[in-house]
Amino acid sequence: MRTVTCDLCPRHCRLKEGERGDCRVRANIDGKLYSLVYGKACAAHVDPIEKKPVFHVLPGSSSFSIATAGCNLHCLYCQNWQISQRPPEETPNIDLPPASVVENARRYDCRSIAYTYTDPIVFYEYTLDTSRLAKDQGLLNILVTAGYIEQEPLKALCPFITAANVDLKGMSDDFYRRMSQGTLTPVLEAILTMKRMGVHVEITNLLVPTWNDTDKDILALIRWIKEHCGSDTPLHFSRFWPTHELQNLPPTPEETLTHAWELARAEGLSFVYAGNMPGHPGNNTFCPGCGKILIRRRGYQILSSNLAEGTCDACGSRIPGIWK
Amino acid sequence: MRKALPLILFALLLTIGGLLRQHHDSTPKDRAPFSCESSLPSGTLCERRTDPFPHIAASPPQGETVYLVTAQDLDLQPRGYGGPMDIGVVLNGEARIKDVRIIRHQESPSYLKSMEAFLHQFMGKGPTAPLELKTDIDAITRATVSSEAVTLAVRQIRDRFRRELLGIPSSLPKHNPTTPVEKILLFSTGILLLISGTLAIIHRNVTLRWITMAGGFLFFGLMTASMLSIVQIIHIGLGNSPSPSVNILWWLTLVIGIVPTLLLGRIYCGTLCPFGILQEALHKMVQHPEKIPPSTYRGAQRTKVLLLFGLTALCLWQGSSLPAEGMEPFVPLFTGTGTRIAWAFMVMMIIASIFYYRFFCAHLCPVGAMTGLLSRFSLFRIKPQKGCSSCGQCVAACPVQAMAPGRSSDGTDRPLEVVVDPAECLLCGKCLTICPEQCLRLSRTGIVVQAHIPKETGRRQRDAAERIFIAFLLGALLLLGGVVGSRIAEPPFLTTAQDPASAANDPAGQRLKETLAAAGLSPHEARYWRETP
Repeated sequence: MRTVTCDLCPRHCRLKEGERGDCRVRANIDGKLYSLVYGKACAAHVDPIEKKPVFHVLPGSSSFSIATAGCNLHCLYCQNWQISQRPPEETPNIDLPPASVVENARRYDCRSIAYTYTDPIVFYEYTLDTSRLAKDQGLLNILVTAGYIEQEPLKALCPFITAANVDLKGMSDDFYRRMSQGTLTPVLEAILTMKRMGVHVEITNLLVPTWNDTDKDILALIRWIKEHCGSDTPLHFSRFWPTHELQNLPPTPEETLTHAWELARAEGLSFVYAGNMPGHPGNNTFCPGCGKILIRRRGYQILSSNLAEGTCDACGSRIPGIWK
Repeated sequence: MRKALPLILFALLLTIGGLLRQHHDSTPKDRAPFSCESSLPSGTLCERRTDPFPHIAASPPQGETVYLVTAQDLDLQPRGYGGPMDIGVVLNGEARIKDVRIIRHQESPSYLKSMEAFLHQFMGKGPTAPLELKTDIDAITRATVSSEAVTLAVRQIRDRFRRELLGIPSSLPKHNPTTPVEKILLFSTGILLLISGTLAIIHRNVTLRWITMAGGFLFFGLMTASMLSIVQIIHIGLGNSPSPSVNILWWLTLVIGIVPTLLLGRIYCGTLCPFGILQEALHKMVQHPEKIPPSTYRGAQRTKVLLLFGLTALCLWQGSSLPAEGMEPFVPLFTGTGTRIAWAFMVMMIIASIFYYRFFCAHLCPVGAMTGLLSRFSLFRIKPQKGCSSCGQCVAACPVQAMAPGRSSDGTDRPLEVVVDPAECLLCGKCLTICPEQCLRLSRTGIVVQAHIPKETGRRQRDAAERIFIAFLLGALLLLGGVVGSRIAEPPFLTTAQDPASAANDPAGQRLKETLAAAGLSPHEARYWRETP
């Protein structure tokens, strides 16, 4: 009976033979650690890249989005709990080895592959091999993650990742513990590592009424981003919708969303967005130089763009991101 | 009290067994996911979505994206003949139906087969198709219940998909499949037949009885194919009875089968059940004057009571009426559904009925056993009145030996009281018409008369008729065992739960490997781990 320890994420699950980790998709089989979901996608879809949400990478392009079962966090508000909180034998899976992912991305005219829906951290090997192959073939790789990962595996993955949207759920360990059964520090470190290694990072914060919607919570988040990631880091405030185990709460009021959006802009962040609320002015990208609307959006849809090779066509300000 | 004991036992079995089963069924179980990769071209991308209700969006490599919505996703519970079922509807982006599939069911394979052509009708129906029986969908012949349930579920799924996912409001009026006029017509036809059957007995009118029987054969058999069935009783126990607004015939046969039995005895069996009518007609054509000795015959009559109890218990244990289906030969005969072995049993019963008066009714029919239990309480019975000369002709004439006098304790030939056993009497009226004094009639009161009936003594030689009779009975029981056995499924509470003993012997690693293999998952060696002492 050999025990193994998984060092992929900060949980460091110790697994006896036949046991699985907290994520349900990594198991000790005959004294070795195996990923149970390599090449087994439980969701694969062609999405607009704006859905991730990633607003500063090839706006209007499609991203071939894949996920497997399992997750290393257990958020009460999980939108995809049917796949994230299930072991892989209980989800409908399709065989989609890395080469097929790349092939499908091409077939569906996608410029990028997004590792999303659950958390790509738990299908790490699948993500790593696929992103490496995709990069070789000129596709971009988008990581949509909660960032709850150890430094070493993250550093090995970053070279292949073009952009990431990291869900920064709150600014306290207590919030992480109660909402997600996780901790804050590894997430902050993951964001900084990605930034350092040249990954274009956008941050999402889901505003949950009564959980993290006070000015104190919001300001702490804004200030940390401004101080450590820079004021040109895109920040998406996202509207919460009652689901999974938080059905008792109302959806985030529009005022809260607008308030957070305004607060972040007032604090000096250049690219603040309000998501999950089509038609909100926070759907648009504003030029930090002249204030002009650079990309006009409605939900995931691009209405117009005044960007010329990543610069504002009015004042010439450079906008961080990947534009072609 | 003694006469009520079997009925009380049966009622207890049905209620307690049914409640236990229903309680067990109400505990939630994980269901197998609607697997779309098995039914769509390879390379299809499936995404399970939850908004606004759970469904699967599937994008095949070529062609349009389709959406799979199941009845269970929408908390609909269409009910088939065998019990609740789950169906899945595949729709395209404009709410056109691409496919309808049965996901989970308790129907027999042959029944399901008859469903295939029915389901095929839905394919290609557009977003505004009425999806109604008799309008644009034809029901499965003689299976209107499931046809209606499935049609309704498909329509509800399509409409909710259209309304909530595509945002097109539903403009279709609600439709009631059976109009009140039709319901009244159906019900009054049944009642009319019952009244005319009763009048035939009261007035000793053989012609009227045969006219009624012809009507019963046409109405209950050929036209509606609705006969009182043990399956109905089991569904009551399982809490599955359909609403009268959905299935009026189900209730009609139940009422016509049970209420008159409490008043008059087994008049349903004798005059209205189409299979009984068929058997009697066949026997009348051939008229073999066989007479099986009472000891054998009366014993064989008890078989049906055993079958009733055994089958009911088995079905409740299984949580499905499936084992009982097909053992009633009238179901394959009039609905055209059933396994091969059930058809064989039906044919055998028809052959047996040529030689032995209503062989199935007298010895094997569980419905007959149940009406028998009920008729012990019947208000009116055939009773001798003043003027009886104790000739015993009625006793000799009874084709089901319901008038065989009670047991003689000393086995001697002595006069015994003539009593009709209401549990066996089919109200055929033979005794009424043969009585030279015409002193037998349906009545609450009668006089005590005794008749000289020769009793058997000691061991006796079985004659050919009796041997064939026993052979028929044994053959029938064997076939029945086959019919029932072929339908018994492993009960879910034995298959899902891990046997604790085997779990202890089975190492966790082995179990995990089996789980993964069953799910088609092949482990891939992971990075970032270490062995831990």
